[in-house]
Amino acid sequence: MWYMNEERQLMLNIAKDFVAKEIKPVAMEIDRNCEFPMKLFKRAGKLGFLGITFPEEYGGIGGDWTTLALILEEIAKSLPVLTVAMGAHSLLSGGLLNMLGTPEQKKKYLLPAAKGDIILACGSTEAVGGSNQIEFSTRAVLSGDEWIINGGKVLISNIVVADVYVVLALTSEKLDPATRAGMSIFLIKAGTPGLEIGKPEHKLGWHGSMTGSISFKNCRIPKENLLGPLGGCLQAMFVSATDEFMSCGPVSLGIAEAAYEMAKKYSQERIQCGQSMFDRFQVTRHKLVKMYTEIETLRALVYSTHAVKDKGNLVLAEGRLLKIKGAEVAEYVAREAIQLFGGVGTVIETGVERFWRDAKVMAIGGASVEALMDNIAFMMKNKMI
Amino acid sequence: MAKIIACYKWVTDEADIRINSEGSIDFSKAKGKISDYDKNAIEAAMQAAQSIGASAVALTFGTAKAKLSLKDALTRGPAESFWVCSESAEKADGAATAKVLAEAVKKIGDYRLIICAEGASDTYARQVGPRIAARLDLPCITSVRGFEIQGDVITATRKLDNRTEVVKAGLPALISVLPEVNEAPIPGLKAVLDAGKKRSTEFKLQDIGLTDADVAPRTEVRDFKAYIMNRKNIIISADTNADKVKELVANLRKDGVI
Repeated sequence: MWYMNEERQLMLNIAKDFVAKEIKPVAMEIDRNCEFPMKLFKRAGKLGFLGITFPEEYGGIGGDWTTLALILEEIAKSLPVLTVAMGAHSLLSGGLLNMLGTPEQKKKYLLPAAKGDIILACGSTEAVGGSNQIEFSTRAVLSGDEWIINGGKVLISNIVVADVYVVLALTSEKLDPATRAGMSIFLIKAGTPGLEIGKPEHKLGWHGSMTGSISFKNCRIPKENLLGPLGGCLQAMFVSATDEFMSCGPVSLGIAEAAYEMAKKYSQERIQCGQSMFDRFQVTRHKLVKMYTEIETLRALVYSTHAVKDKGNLVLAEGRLLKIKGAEVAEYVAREAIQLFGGVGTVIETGVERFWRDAKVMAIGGASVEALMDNIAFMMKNKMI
Repeated sequence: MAKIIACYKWVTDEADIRINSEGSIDFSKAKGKISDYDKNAIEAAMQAAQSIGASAVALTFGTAKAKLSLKDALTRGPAESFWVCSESAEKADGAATAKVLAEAVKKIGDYRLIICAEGASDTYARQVGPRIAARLDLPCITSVRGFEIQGDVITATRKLDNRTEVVKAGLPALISVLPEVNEAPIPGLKAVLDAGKKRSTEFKLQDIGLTDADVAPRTEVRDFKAYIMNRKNIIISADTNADKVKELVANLRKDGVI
């Protein structure tokens, strides 16, 4: 592949080893029990997967985005939910810390986060506005040396297990719709009085991602826990969210590849009337070719976009395209894979249906593909693309 | 600092090998990898070096393709890697490989222990380790499942067919280890970056006093064939169990199994 080099290949081999020896044996069990993959998450930290794009001085490896994509793709082939936890931790929360943190904040939070010694969660989405910050109502007010936070967030990944929540809150009366000024970010440690953690939701897919609500009732945090400029964090949030959307490309690619490989193997081994399904039915062959075509199309989009990102571009529109196209391809391929399996494809123990469940959530979790299309349309209208 | 030398082989990754319908083997899409068992040998060298305050180094004999292995080997911990590069490695048998590695070991010098895997994951001929030891006139302990070093003595536990055996040898020595000697850890991504900063030394055959003629193999691989299992679909249909056994035995005799 044009995007491979020796260093990336060695790092990918490490991910392959990790998947084969440690993830694959427990992946089905984690999905079935809806448990956060704590042991794997900690191991991912020790192996350096949680700080790939962080600077070396803060525990990362100063790697590029293409390397991150290769590793996410590989992990997603076995356990997509681990990449979801990694995305919330390293890209959304860690990304904001990396962009906005003071050296002291980075040393205190980013360094242990890169090693997996602490877990981060990002609190943005709210019940009323969804991901539309104009409608957010969580508010922070400065009182002496403390910020007092009131409000609530919903559908937040890594709740319960997180040690630190990176939370968006209004610090003005309302968000300026033109300049987007008025929103700030705060670092809130788990266990802080006034921070209440809800119960993880039972979801269609992403079992074990610990997604749920958090609320703040006169939650007091030190003044220095403000992350970044007062009232001026949304640009950074837009960038870190883009990085997270972009990561949905390789994750979706991994999901699609896993489902496709299972269906291809089954079609070649399942005998009907003396022939494999692959040899006997044109419809089987054509389905597999279409699935393969979509996968290779997505692969081209994923790695060309990451190559552009590696050159220092923000890829605000292209990053969103990866989530849109990735979710579409992963859901299509996983659905067709189940269809090729027939009845046994719907049996949980077969292990293919979970990829469809995870693929379906890809189109919604973090931001719906429709919201992202509106983002891109806005960029079109304003001649940004 | 004294060295612990781990020898390894760059082999074809069996996961990439395709078997054609007529039984021939297609290597065209196969990538290379460090033999799985050699990863245990490298880890054993790391542990041994740590226990006696020596420096672990990695050594391989391979074609130009084996260059890809150097950083991989260094990622697993050794401080330095050595590579004897020659296209003759493509067809080298155990005797030729041992000759090259023994001369390379002499060139590296100042070693206390040489560690090989019991066999490589492609041929598993179990020749190289003992042959290196013979050439260097070193004590050799094979089939090692565990060992410790105290002073100038290595104590190793060997796994034999139906028992284990504990043997001692003076250093320097050579041991060939079984995969169960340790669990080769998965290196972290940082180790890949660190590997780029370590030194790799390339030897040509003449650098270690050999020529292509010196490493000509005495054995020749004529062909590779896949092992194909075909079912004979013989149904034993005798009426009584005793007759069924007789029929089974007769069939096995006919096929030369017993």
